[in-house]
Amino acid sequence: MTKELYEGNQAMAEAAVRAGLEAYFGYPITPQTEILEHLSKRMPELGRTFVQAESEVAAINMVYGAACTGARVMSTSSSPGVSLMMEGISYIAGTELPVVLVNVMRGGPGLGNIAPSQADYNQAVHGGGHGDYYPIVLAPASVQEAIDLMVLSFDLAEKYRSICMLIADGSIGQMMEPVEMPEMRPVVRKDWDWAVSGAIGRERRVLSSIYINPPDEEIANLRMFKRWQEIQKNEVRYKEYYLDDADFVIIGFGTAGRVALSAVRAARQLGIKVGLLRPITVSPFPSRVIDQLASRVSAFLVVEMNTGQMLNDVQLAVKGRVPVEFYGRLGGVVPFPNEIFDEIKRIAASKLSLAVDPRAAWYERMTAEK
Amino acid sequence: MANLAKPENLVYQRPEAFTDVSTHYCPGCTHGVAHRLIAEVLDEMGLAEKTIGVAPVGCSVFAYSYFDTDFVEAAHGRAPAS
Repeated sequence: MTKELYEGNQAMAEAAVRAGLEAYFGYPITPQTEILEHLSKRMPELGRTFVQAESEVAAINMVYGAACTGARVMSTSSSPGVSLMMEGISYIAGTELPVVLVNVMRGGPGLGNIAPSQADYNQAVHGGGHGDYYPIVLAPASVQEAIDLMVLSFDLAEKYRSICMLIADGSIGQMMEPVEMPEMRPVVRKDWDWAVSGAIGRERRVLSSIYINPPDEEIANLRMFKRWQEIQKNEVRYKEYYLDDADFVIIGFGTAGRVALSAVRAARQLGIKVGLLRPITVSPFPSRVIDQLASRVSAFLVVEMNTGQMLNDVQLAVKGRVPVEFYGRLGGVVPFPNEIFDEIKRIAASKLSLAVDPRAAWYERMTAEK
Repeated sequence: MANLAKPENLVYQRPEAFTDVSTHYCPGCTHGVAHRLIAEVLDEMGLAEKTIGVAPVGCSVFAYSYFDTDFVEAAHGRAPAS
Protein backbone atom coordinates (compact mmCIF):
# COMPACT_ATOMS: atom_id res chain seq x y z
CA MET A 1 0.00 0.00 0.00
CA THR A 2 1.18 3.54 -0.72
CA LYS A 3 2.53 5.53 2.16
CA GLU A 4 0.91 8.84 2.98
CA LEU A 5 2.29 11.77 4.94
CA TYR A 6 0.30 12.20 8.15
CA GLU A 7 0.61 14.34 11.23
CA GLY A 8 0.47 12.19 14.37
CA ASN A 9 -2.74 13.67 15.74
CA GLN A 10 -4.57 13.45 12.43
CA ALA A 11 -3.19 9.95 11.95
CA MET A 12 -4.56 8.76 15.31
CA ALA A 13 -7.92 10.37 14.50
CA GLU A 14 -8.13 8.75 11.07
CA ALA A 15 -6.99 5.40 12.49
CA ALA A 16 -9.80 5.58 15.05
CA VAL A 17 -12.30 6.33 12.27
CA ARG A 18 -11.06 3.31 10.33
CA ALA A 19 -11.22 1.14 13.46
CA GLY A 20 -14.97 1.77 13.51
CA LEU A 21 -15.21 4.67 15.94
CA GLU A 22 -18.94 5.34 16.34
CA ALA A 23 -18.92 8.35 18.66
CA TYR A 24 -16.35 10.95 19.73
CA PHE A 25 -16.59 13.53 22.49
CA GLY A 26 -13.79 15.97 23.22
CA TYR A 27 -12.58 19.43 23.96
CA PRO A 28 -9.69 21.27 22.29
CA ILE A 29 -6.29 21.52 23.97
CA THR A 30 -2.81 21.82 22.49
CA PRO A 31 -0.96 19.64 21.49
CA GLN A 32 -3.85 17.28 20.62
CA THR A 33 -6.41 19.62 19.02
CA GLU A 34 -5.86 18.23 15.50
CA ILE A 35 -7.48 14.97 16.64
CA LEU A 36 -10.65 16.87 17.44
CA GLU A 37 -10.34 18.98 14.30
CA HIS A 38 -9.93 15.96 12.03
CA LEU A 39 -12.85 14.13 13.63
CA SER A 40 -15.08 17.23 13.47
CA LYS A 41 -14.88 16.87 9.70
CA ARG A 42 -14.72 13.09 9.29
CA MET A 43 -17.34 11.88 11.75
CA PRO A 44 -20.29 13.95 10.45
CA GLU A 45 -19.47 13.17 6.82
CA LEU A 46 -19.65 9.47 7.70
CA GLY A 47 -22.89 9.92 9.62
CA ARG A 48 -21.23 9.25 12.97
CA THR A 49 -21.39 11.19 16.22
CA PHE A 50 -19.02 14.06 16.99
CA VAL A 51 -19.59 16.44 19.90
CA GLN A 52 -17.30 19.24 21.00
CA ALA A 53 -18.34 19.35 24.63
CA GLU A 54 -18.29 22.42 26.89
CA SER A 55 -15.39 20.97 28.88
CA GLU A 56 -13.33 17.83 29.36
CA VAL A 57 -15.56 16.97 32.33
CA ALA A 58 -18.62 16.95 30.08
CA ALA A 59 -16.74 15.10 27.33
CA ILE A 60 -15.72 12.18 29.55
CA ASN A 61 -19.24 11.85 30.93
CA MET A 62 -20.64 11.82 27.39
CA VAL A 63 -18.12 9.06 26.70
CA TYR A 64 -19.44 7.24 29.77
CA GLY A 65 -23.03 7.43 28.53
CA ALA A 66 -22.17 6.39 24.98
CA ALA A 67 -20.01 3.51 26.19
CA CYS A 68 -22.97 2.25 28.26
CA THR A 69 -24.86 1.73 25.00
CA GLY A 70 -22.05 -0.49 23.65
CA ALA A 71 -20.80 2.01 21.05
CA ARG A 72 -17.12 2.22 20.07
CA VAL A 73 -16.32 5.49 21.74
CA MET A 74 -13.28 7.66 22.37
CA SER A 75 -12.13 10.91 23.87
CA THR A 76 -8.76 12.59 23.60
CA SER A 77 -7.02 15.38 25.44
CA SER A 78 -3.69 16.61 26.72
CA SER A 79 -2.33 16.52 30.26
CA PRO A 80 -4.39 19.24 32.07
CA GLY A 81 -7.53 18.12 30.25
CA VAL A 82 -6.92 14.49 31.20
CA SER A 83 -6.66 15.54 34.85
CA LEU A 84 -10.13 17.07 34.49
CA MET A 85 -11.40 13.76 33.13
CA MET A 86 -10.14 11.67 36.02
CA GLU A 87 -13.44 11.49 37.91
CA GLY A 88 -15.19 10.18 34.83
CA ILE A 89 -12.36 7.76 34.10
CA SER A 90 -12.80 6.22 37.55
CA TYR A 91 -16.55 5.86 36.96
CA ILE A 92 -15.87 4.21 33.61
CA ALA A 93 -13.48 1.78 35.32
CA GLY A 94 -16.00 1.11 38.09
CA THR A 95 -18.80 0.46 35.62
CA GLU A 96 -16.47 -1.85 33.64
CA LEU A 97 -16.93 -0.08 30.31
CA PRO A 98 -14.67 -0.37 27.26
CA VAL A 99 -13.39 3.13 26.53
CA VAL A 100 -10.43 4.37 24.49
CA LEU A 101 -8.62 7.53 25.54
CA VAL A 102 -5.61 9.40 24.20
CA ASN A 103 -3.38 11.69 26.22
CA VAL A 104 -1.00 13.69 24.03
CA MET A 105 1.26 14.66 26.91
CA ARG A 106 2.70 18.12 27.48
CA GLY A 107 4.99 19.68 30.08
CA GLY A 108 3.59 20.06 33.58
CA PRO A 109 2.43 20.07 36.34
CA GLY A 110 -0.32 22.66 36.18
CA LEU A 111 -0.68 24.58 32.96
CA GLY A 112 2.97 23.80 32.19
CA ASN A 113 3.59 24.27 28.50
CA ILE A 114 2.70 22.69 25.18
CA ALA A 115 5.99 20.88 24.54
CA PRO A 116 6.44 17.06 24.49
CA SER A 117 6.60 15.36 27.87
CA GLN A 118 6.21 11.98 29.58
CA ALA A 119 5.29 13.43 32.95
CA ASP A 120 1.85 11.77 33.03
CA TYR A 121 3.26 8.23 33.20
CA ASN A 122 2.32 7.81 36.85
CA GLN A 123 -1.13 9.30 36.34
CA ALA A 124 -1.84 6.97 33.43
CA VAL A 125 -0.16 3.79 34.67
CA HIS A 126 -0.64 3.98 38.42
CA GLY A 127 -4.13 5.35 38.69
CA GLY A 128 -5.16 8.95 38.34
CA GLY A 129 -8.75 8.30 39.21
CA HIS A 130 -9.81 7.02 42.63
CA GLY A 131 -10.45 3.40 43.45
CA ASP A 132 -8.91 0.02 42.76
CA TYR A 133 -8.50 -0.34 39.00
CA TYR A 134 -5.83 -0.96 36.38
CA PRO A 135 -6.02 0.59 32.91
CA ILE A 136 -4.25 -0.67 29.80
CA VAL A 137 -1.74 1.98 28.73
CA LEU A 138 0.06 2.01 25.38
CA ALA A 139 3.02 4.24 24.45
CA PRO A 140 3.79 4.75 20.74
CA ALA A 141 7.20 5.95 19.52
CA SER A 142 6.27 6.87 15.95
CA VAL A 143 3.25 8.01 13.97
CA GLN A 144 2.89 4.55 12.40
CA GLU A 145 2.97 2.91 15.82
CA ALA A 146 0.40 5.42 17.08
CA ILE A 147 -1.90 4.34 14.23
CA ASP A 148 -1.39 0.63 14.89
CA LEU A 149 -1.91 1.04 18.65
CA MET A 150 -4.98 3.21 18.09
CA VAL A 151 -6.65 0.35 16.23
CA LEU A 152 -5.47 -2.18 18.82
CA SER A 153 -6.82 0.01 21.65
CA PHE A 154 -10.44 -0.56 20.67
CA ASP A 155 -10.00 -4.32 20.47
CA LEU A 156 -8.24 -4.47 23.84
CA ALA A 157 -10.76 -2.20 25.54
CA GLU A 158 -13.67 -4.32 24.33
CA LYS A 159 -11.98 -7.66 24.96
CA TYR A 160 -11.42 -6.82 28.63
CA ARG A 161 -14.19 -4.25 29.26
CA SER A 162 -11.34 -1.97 30.23
CA ILE A 163 -10.02 1.53 29.77
CA CYS A 164 -7.28 1.60 27.16
CA MET A 165 -5.29 4.82 27.19
CA LEU A 166 -2.75 5.76 24.58
CA ILE A 167 -0.09 8.06 26.02
CA ALA A 168 1.65 9.88 23.18
CA ASP A 169 4.37 12.42 23.88
CA GLY A 170 3.42 15.79 22.34
CA SER A 171 6.03 15.15 19.66
CA ILE A 172 4.15 12.05 18.43
CA GLY A 173 1.02 14.14 18.02
CA GLN A 174 2.73 17.03 16.26
CA MET A 175 5.26 15.46 13.90
CA MET A 176 4.60 14.25 10.36
CA GLU A 177 5.81 10.91 9.05
CA PRO A 178 5.05 8.67 6.08
CA VAL A 179 2.61 5.99 7.21
CA GLU A 180 0.27 3.27 6.04
CA MET A 181 -3.32 3.62 7.14
CA PRO A 182 -5.35 0.52 7.95
CA GLU A 183 -8.35 -0.55 5.89
CA MET A 184 -11.67 1.06 6.78
CA ARG A 185 -13.65 -1.17 9.12
CA PRO A 186 -17.41 -0.66 9.30
CA VAL A 187 -19.07 0.62 12.46
CA VAL A 188 -20.38 -2.48 14.21
CA ARG A 189 -22.58 -2.16 17.29
CA LYS A 190 -21.92 -5.50 18.93
CA ASP A 191 -24.70 -7.24 20.83
CA TRP A 192 -23.02 -7.02 24.24
CA ASP A 193 -24.82 -8.82 27.05
CA TRP A 194 -24.18 -5.86 29.35
CA ALA A 195 -25.00 -2.81 27.21
CA VAL A 196 -28.14 -0.72 27.68
CA SER A 197 -30.21 -0.20 24.56
CA GLY A 198 -33.80 -0.30 25.83
CA ALA A 199 -35.28 -3.36 27.54
CA ILE A 200 -37.17 -4.68 24.51
CA GLY A 201 -37.99 -8.36 24.99
CA ARG A 202 -35.42 -8.89 27.71
CA GLU A 203 -34.76 -8.20 31.38
CA ARG A 204 -33.80 -4.59 32.05
CA ARG A 205 -30.13 -3.83 32.64
CA VAL A 206 -28.56 -1.34 35.04
CA LEU A 207 -25.01 -0.06 34.55
CA SER A 208 -23.52 1.50 37.64
CA SER A 209 -20.33 1.83 39.65
CA ILE A 210 -22.29 1.90 42.91
CA TYR A 211 -22.07 -1.05 45.30
CA ILE A 212 -23.57 0.18 48.55
CA ASN A 213 -22.96 -3.14 50.26
CA PRO A 214 -19.15 -3.42 50.75
CA PRO A 215 -18.96 -7.20 50.12
CA ASP A 216 -20.61 -6.58 46.72
CA GLU A 217 -17.98 -3.97 45.92
CA GLU A 218 -15.30 -6.46 46.92
CA ILE A 219 -16.76 -8.98 44.47
CA ALA A 220 -16.71 -6.32 41.74
CA ASN A 221 -13.11 -5.41 42.61
CA LEU A 222 -12.12 -9.08 42.44
CA ARG A 223 -13.82 -9.43 39.04
CA MET A 224 -11.90 -6.42 37.72
CA PHE A 225 -8.66 -7.72 39.19
CA LYS A 226 -9.14 -11.11 37.55
CA ARG A 227 -9.47 -9.33 34.20
CA TRP A 228 -6.30 -7.40 34.98
CA GLN A 229 -4.46 -10.67 35.63
CA GLU A 230 -5.60 -11.89 32.20
CA ILE A 231 -4.34 -8.65 30.65
CA GLN A 232 -0.98 -9.04 32.39
CA LYS A 233 -0.72 -12.59 31.08
CA ASN A 234 -1.76 -11.90 27.48
CA GLU A 235 -1.07 -8.32 26.49
CA VAL A 236 2.49 -7.31 27.40
CA ARG A 237 4.14 -5.76 24.36
CA TYR A 238 7.62 -4.32 23.89
CA LYS A 239 10.34 -3.89 21.27
CA GLU A 240 13.88 -5.05 21.78
CA TYR A 241 16.98 -3.87 19.95
CA TYR A 242 20.49 -5.40 20.17
CA LEU A 243 19.63 -7.33 23.33
CA ASP A 244 21.19 -10.67 22.34
CA ASP A 245 24.76 -9.74 23.24
CA ALA A 246 24.11 -6.61 25.31
CA ASP A 247 26.31 -5.93 28.34
CA PHE A 248 23.89 -3.30 29.56
CA VAL A 249 20.44 -2.21 28.49
CA ILE A 250 18.64 1.10 28.06
CA ILE A 251 14.92 1.14 28.87
CA GLY A 252 12.80 3.98 27.50
CA PHE A 253 9.26 4.32 26.17
CA GLY A 254 7.81 6.55 23.47
CA THR A 255 9.99 9.38 22.21
CA ALA A 256 12.68 8.80 24.86
CA GLY A 257 13.02 5.20 23.66
CA ARG A 258 13.19 6.30 20.06
CA VAL A 259 15.88 8.91 20.74
CA ALA A 260 17.77 6.31 22.76
CA LEU A 261 17.81 3.98 19.74
CA SER A 262 19.83 6.56 17.77
CA ALA A 263 22.31 6.69 20.64
CA VAL A 264 22.46 2.89 20.87
CA ARG A 265 23.22 2.62 17.14
CA ALA A 266 26.00 5.20 17.49
CA ALA A 267 27.42 3.31 20.46
CA ARG A 268 27.31 0.02 18.58
CA GLN A 269 29.49 1.59 15.88
CA LEU A 270 32.08 2.19 18.60
CA GLY A 271 31.76 -1.45 19.66
CA ILE A 272 29.91 -0.70 22.92
CA LYS A 273 27.59 -3.61 23.60
CA VAL A 274 24.48 -1.75 24.64
CA GLY A 275 20.90 -2.81 23.92
CA LEU A 276 17.49 -1.16 24.13
CA LEU A 277 14.17 -2.34 25.51
CA ARG A 278 11.24 -0.13 24.56
CA PRO A 279 8.00 -0.94 26.43
CA ILE A 280 4.94 -0.52 24.21
CA THR A 281 2.50 -1.51 26.93
CA VAL A 282 3.63 0.52 29.93
CA SER A 283 0.62 -1.04 31.64
CA PRO A 284 0.81 -4.04 31.81
CA PHE A 285 4.51 -3.38 32.32
CA PRO A 286 7.06 -5.77 30.74
CA SER A 287 8.43 -6.71 34.16
CA ARG A 288 9.12 -10.33 33.23
CA VAL A 289 11.53 -9.57 30.40
CA ILE A 290 13.33 -7.01 32.59
CA ASP A 291 13.49 -9.61 35.36
CA GLN A 292 15.09 -12.08 32.94
CA LEU A 293 17.52 -9.47 31.58
CA ALA A 294 18.56 -8.52 35.11
CA SER A 295 20.05 -11.99 35.57
CA ARG A 296 22.42 -11.63 32.61
CA VAL A 297 23.27 -7.93 32.01
CA SER A 298 25.54 -5.75 34.14
CA ALA A 299 23.36 -2.62 34.36
CA PHE A 300 20.33 -0.72 33.10
CA LEU A 301 19.89 2.89 32.07
CA VAL A 302 16.35 4.24 32.24
CA VAL A 303 15.73 7.25 29.98
CA GLU A 304 12.55 9.27 30.40
CA MET A 305 11.11 12.74 29.84
CA ASN A 306 10.25 13.05 33.54
CA THR A 307 12.07 12.62 36.85
CA GLY A 308 12.04 8.83 36.70
CA GLN A 309 8.46 7.66 36.97
CA MET A 310 8.95 4.43 35.01
CA LEU A 311 12.29 4.07 36.82
CA ASN A 312 10.36 2.84 39.85
CA ASP A 313 8.75 0.04 37.85
CA VAL A 314 12.11 -0.97 36.37
CA GLN A 315 13.66 -1.07 39.85
CA LEU A 316 10.83 -3.31 41.04
CA ALA A 317 11.59 -5.77 38.24
CA VAL A 318 15.39 -5.62 38.68
CA LYS A 319 15.06 -6.17 42.45
CA GLY A 320 18.42 -4.60 43.26
CA ARG A 321 20.47 -7.25 41.42
CA VAL A 322 22.35 -4.80 39.15
CA PRO A 323 22.69 -1.01 39.10
CA VAL A 324 19.86 0.93 37.44
CA GLU A 325 21.06 4.32 36.20
CA PHE A 326 18.76 7.16 35.20
CA TYR A 327 18.75 10.00 32.70
CA GLY A 328 15.80 12.36 32.35
CA ARG A 329 14.84 15.63 30.71
CA LEU A 330 11.91 17.49 32.15
CA GLY A 331 9.22 20.07 31.62
CA GLY A 332 8.80 19.66 27.87
CA VAL A 333 12.49 19.23 27.00
CA VAL A 334 13.32 16.32 24.67
CA PRO A 335 16.78 14.72 25.04
CA PHE A 336 19.12 14.74 22.04
CA PRO A 337 20.73 11.45 20.99
CA ASN A 338 24.19 12.75 21.95
CA GLU A 339 23.04 13.28 25.57
CA ILE A 340 22.08 9.61 25.81
CA PHE A 341 25.21 8.65 23.88
CA ASP A 342 27.26 10.46 26.56
CA GLU A 343 25.40 8.47 29.24
CA ILE A 344 26.18 5.23 27.41
CA LYS A 345 29.87 6.13 27.28
CA ARG A 346 29.83 7.10 30.97
CA ILE A 347 28.27 3.78 31.96
CA ALA A 348 30.58 1.77 29.69
CA ALA A 349 33.63 3.46 31.25
CA SER A 350 32.69 3.45 34.93
CA LYS A 351 32.34 0.99 37.74
CA LEU A 352 28.73 1.37 38.88
CA SER A 353 27.60 0.91 42.44
CA LEU A 354 24.37 -0.60 43.73
CA ALA A 355 24.51 1.81 46.65
CA VAL A 356 23.91 4.93 44.53
CA ASP A 357 20.42 6.42 44.29
CA PRO A 358 20.11 6.80 40.50
CA ARG A 359 17.71 9.73 40.72
CA ALA A 360 19.90 11.66 43.16
CA ALA A 361 23.02 10.95 41.09
CA TRP A 362 21.28 12.09 37.92
CA TYR A 363 20.17 15.29 39.65
CA GLU A 364 23.75 15.98 40.73
CA ARG A 365 25.01 15.52 37.19
CA MET A 366 22.16 17.63 35.75
CA THR A 367 22.80 20.58 38.02
CA ALA A 368 26.60 20.42 38.29
CA GLU A 369 28.55 23.46 37.10
CA LYS A 370 29.78 22.68 33.59
CA MET B 1 -67.93 2.38 48.83
CA ALA B 2 -66.90 -0.98 47.40
CA ASN B 3 -67.72 -0.02 43.80
CA LEU B 4 -65.09 2.74 43.85
CA ALA B 5 -62.49 0.07 42.99
CA LYS B 6 -64.18 -0.63 39.65
CA PRO B 7 -61.80 0.05 36.72
CA GLU B 8 -63.99 2.89 35.43
CA ASN B 9 -63.66 4.60 38.80
CA LEU B 10 -59.92 4.12 39.09
CA VAL B 11 -58.07 7.43 38.69
CA TYR B 12 -54.82 6.62 40.45
CA GLN B 13 -52.63 3.50 40.25
CA ARG B 14 -49.02 2.50 40.03
CA PRO B 15 -47.61 3.34 36.57
CA GLU B 16 -46.43 0.30 34.64
CA ALA B 17 -43.04 1.95 34.09
CA PHE B 18 -42.43 1.62 37.82
CA THR B 19 -40.88 -1.45 39.40
CA ASP B 20 -42.72 -3.00 42.35
CA VAL B 21 -40.39 -1.44 44.89
CA SER B 22 -41.13 1.01 47.70
CA THR B 23 -38.94 4.10 47.44
CA HIS B 24 -36.53 5.12 50.19
CA TYR B 25 -37.59 8.78 50.03
CA CYS B 26 -38.63 10.56 53.22
CA PRO B 27 -42.33 11.32 53.86
CA GLY B 28 -43.19 14.60 52.14
CA CYS B 29 -40.30 14.41 49.67
CA THR B 30 -41.29 15.33 46.10
CA HIS B 31 -38.82 12.99 44.41
CA GLY B 32 -41.50 10.31 44.35
CA VAL B 33 -43.97 12.70 42.70
CA ALA B 34 -41.41 13.65 40.06
CA HIS B 35 -40.64 9.97 39.40
CA ARG B 36 -44.35 9.24 39.09
CA LEU B 37 -44.91 12.03 36.56
CA ILE B 38 -42.06 10.70 34.43
CA ALA B 39 -43.35 7.13 34.69
CA GLU B 40 -46.86 8.23 33.68
CA VAL B 41 -45.49 9.98 30.59
CA LEU B 42 -43.47 6.86 29.67
CA ASP B 43 -46.67 4.80 29.96
CA GLU B 44 -48.81 7.26 28.01
CA MET B 45 -46.31 7.44 25.17
CA GLY B 46 -45.43 3.73 25.31
CA LEU B 47 -41.74 4.54 25.65
CA ALA B 48 -40.62 2.42 28.61
CA GLU B 49 -39.00 -0.29 26.47
CA LYS B 50 -37.07 2.28 24.45
CA THR B 51 -35.91 4.25 27.48
CA ILE B 52 -32.45 4.34 29.01
CA GLY B 53 -32.67 6.27 32.27
CA VAL B 54 -29.72 8.18 33.70
CA ALA B 55 -29.70 8.42 37.49
CA PRO B 56 -27.91 11.27 39.27
CA VAL B 57 -26.04 11.32 42.59
CA GLY B 58 -27.98 12.47 45.64
CA CYS B 59 -31.19 11.03 47.08
CA SER B 60 -32.35 9.93 43.63
CA VAL B 61 -29.16 7.93 43.13
CA PHE B 62 -31.36 4.83 43.43
CA ALA B 63 -33.81 5.97 40.74
CA TYR B 64 -32.64 2.96 38.75
CA SER B 65 -34.38 0.74 41.29
CA TYR B 66 -37.76 2.40 40.74
CA PHE B 67 -38.11 2.55 36.95
CA ASP B 68 -38.64 -0.64 35.00
CA THR B 69 -36.28 0.44 32.20
CA ASP B 70 -32.61 0.14 31.29
CA PHE B 71 -30.63 2.50 33.50
CA VAL B 72 -27.22 4.09 33.84
CA GLU B 73 -25.79 5.61 37.01
CA ALA B 74 -24.00 8.90 36.32
CA ALA B 75 -21.41 10.79 38.36
CA HIS B 76 -22.39 13.67 40.64
CA GLY B 77 -23.89 16.47 38.53
CA ARG B 78 -23.02 14.73 35.27
CA ALA B 79 -26.30 13.06 34.32
CA PRO B 80 -27.07 15.52 31.48
CA ALA B 81 -23.67 14.83 29.89
CA SER B 82 -23.99 11.07 30.37
